Amino acid sequence: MRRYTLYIYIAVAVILGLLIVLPQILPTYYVGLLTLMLIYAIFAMSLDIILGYTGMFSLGHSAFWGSAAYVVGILNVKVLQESNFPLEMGAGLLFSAIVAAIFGLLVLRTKGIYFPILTLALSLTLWGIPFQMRLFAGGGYGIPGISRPVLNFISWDLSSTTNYYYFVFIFFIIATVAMYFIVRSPFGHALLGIRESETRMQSLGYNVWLYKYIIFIVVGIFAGLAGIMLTYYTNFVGPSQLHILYSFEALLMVVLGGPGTLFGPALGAAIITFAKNIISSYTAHWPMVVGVIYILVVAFFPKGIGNLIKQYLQKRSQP
Amino acid sequence: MLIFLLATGLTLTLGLMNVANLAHGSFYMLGGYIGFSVALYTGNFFLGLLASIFSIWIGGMLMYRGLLQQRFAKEELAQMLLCFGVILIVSDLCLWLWGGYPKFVVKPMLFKGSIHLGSIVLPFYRLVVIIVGAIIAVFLWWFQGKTKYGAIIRAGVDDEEMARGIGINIILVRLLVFSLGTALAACAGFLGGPILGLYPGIDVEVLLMAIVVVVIGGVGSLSGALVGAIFIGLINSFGRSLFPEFAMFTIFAPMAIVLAIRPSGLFGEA
Amino acid sequence: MKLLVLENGSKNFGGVRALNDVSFVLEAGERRAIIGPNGAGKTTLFNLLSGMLRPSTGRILFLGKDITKMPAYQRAVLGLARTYQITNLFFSLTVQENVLLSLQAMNTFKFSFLRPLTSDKHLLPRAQSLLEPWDMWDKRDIEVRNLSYGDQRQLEIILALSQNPKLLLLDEPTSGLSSAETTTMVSMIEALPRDITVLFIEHDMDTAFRLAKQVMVLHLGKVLTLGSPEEVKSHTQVQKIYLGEE
Repeated sequence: MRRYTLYIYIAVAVILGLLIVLPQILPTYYVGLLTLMLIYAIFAMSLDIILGYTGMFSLGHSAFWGSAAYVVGILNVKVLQESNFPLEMGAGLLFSAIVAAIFGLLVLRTKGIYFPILTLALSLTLWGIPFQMRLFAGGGYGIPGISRPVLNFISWDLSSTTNYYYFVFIFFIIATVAMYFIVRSPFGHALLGIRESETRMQSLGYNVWLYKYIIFIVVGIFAGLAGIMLTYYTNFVGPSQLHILYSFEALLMVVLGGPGTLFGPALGAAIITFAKNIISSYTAHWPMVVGVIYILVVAFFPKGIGNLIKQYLQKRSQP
Repeated sequence: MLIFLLATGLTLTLGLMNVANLAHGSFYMLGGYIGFSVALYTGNFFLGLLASIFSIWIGGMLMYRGLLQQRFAKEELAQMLLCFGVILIVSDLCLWLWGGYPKFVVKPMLFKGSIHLGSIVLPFYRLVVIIVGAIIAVFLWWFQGKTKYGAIIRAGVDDEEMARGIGINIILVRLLVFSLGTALAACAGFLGGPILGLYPGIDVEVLLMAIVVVVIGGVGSLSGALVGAIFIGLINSFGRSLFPEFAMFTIFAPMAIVLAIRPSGLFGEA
Repeated sequence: MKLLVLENGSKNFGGVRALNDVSFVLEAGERRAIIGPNGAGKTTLFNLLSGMLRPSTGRILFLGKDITKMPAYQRAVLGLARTYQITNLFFSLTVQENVLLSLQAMNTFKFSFLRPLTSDKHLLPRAQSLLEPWDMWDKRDIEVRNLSYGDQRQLEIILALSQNPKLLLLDEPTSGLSSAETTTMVSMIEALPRDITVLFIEHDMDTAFRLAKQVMVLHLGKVLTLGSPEEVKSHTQVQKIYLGEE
């Protein structure tokens, strides 16, 4: 186990280095792409925690990031006179936590195939809501013109793509480190146990429901964070952000990247975001391509890239 | 009633085979579109119906054979992902082939007009849909509960090895059940054409409806699906007229309540 | 001291009465076997006692407390541990991780988000002391799914033991084991400290009669008889059930 940790440190250092340096040299288009990759990475990793680590197949992930985004949008454009970043972000995160708390109560009582179906249904329902709220939430047109956070204490103009990238990067680091701590902690290990055998965990004395509920909310907050980052990036929020396509994309990122590894889904996020951008410039049929990739991944890479890498490293480090 | 139809396909495959065909809505849509085109081309409503049912029956078989029966589809997660793949592909395909504008299937002359029952004016077509739904419901109920084949299917689900041992070709049976489910979806899609229309996004709406019905009514239970469908239909209409702002909530709320009280649905088997 | 009391316990599944008005008292320190033909309700009884199922009627008292409505995980905290007939372990985790998870359960910091598990000082020595007697310490880095079946069965019991239970419910501990493995298992169970009460289900008569001081026979959801191994062996109805089944 020890030998490959060195390789890992090196790899991490290299990647971090690249992430810090590249925006200085790449054209703005690519910086924007990198920003998206980081945002999606947070989103995908948070899904990995409940899917890959805890074994809960949640298909309603987009509900979390969409709700946080809407709160930010509403506050930013409709309510506040001037941008108040701490308030917007705090409210957004709080709202996604509340949504997760409510969903959790409804959904965690179900078993088996019901769970994913239900999360899907709840998410679809939530998606329909902004359409009804035309005055408040912009209906089908969404809320355009969201301004990026104005940070008064550091005079940093976030309307520049590059600057905004670094802003997201900071949150990305914070979120990733936090998520790593969580999965390595006793709580995180308990999640693994829950994934493997809930009944065993019950017999050992763990309040399984409580664990699942807590992590569901925590994950919702991380997803909300990603959603807030996205909405500031696009200066827009609309029902599309609640659309199941995002949940599906995140799921694909997790499965392709390797559930249960954290770095895998981040990698998956990068790959899919990149692919999406390239393919979308040639054809409008990105959803179809996603569908095909889904099928290919299930057929050929069921464990995902991340797990394949992990297995490879483990084999290498054994004499 | 329409809602019932489209829910039956889902509840059938889910209940009998423990496979959640999430692409259900997609089959509804695809079936509807195919039927629409055929009907348009040939000018015959019934040909359209047959075409949609037949083509989706084959489509369902293909999907089952090609995807769900494979070794890599053993786990639930894999099945779900495959369904998603299908959903995405079909949805985009329909957009591509039929464009973004809603299509309306034309009711055949035979069914136009309305009936007056006392003070209620009922479009004749809707009545037809109700009747068809009822016929299918009865047929399924009879089939599931009373015939030899129904018993075979249930046995196959309960204990696959035993069934195989007795010589029942369980694979064929499952294939047929699955395709029946998808064909039902297509049928609903085509029949629903004149009422709901066909447009991009309808696959998702239909899926949501079907899920809600199944959740409320209980998995695998036809009567549950019936009750659930009627319930939802009523709530939907009430909700839309009384609280147009909260139409979504009116679907959400009963589902939430049922879940809180009886997670396996009103008639479901625990 | 009455450790466990079951009063008029029944469990219905739809129309089937899996357990029918079962009552018994288990004293502390006992070694009792539950035997009975298939379908007699033995595992259902265990599920009832451990909290996986709620009884349709009846009361369960553990250490004087009414635990009838208590969820399974709380019973574990009180000191009730069980093993499963079908091996129920954390298959993709290593042996060590399995044991650590089990030890962690009784600790207050299991909700902690911060401390990395493997560096926890208190737990590793305990894990070692639990695994060594069963010759499993060397195998601690092996994933459970790669263990032999016999080792997996042993790990089931180790996990239950790591909970420091007062009552240990063993569900067919020797099922599927070779005779050599069975001998090892039996001697390990015999060597269990006397302050742990053991209630076990067994299909292997020799094992049951050897390990138990008291044997309880279940048949069709009811307690047929309770007595010492000799009494049970010579009980005419018991003989009829078992011989008649052949």
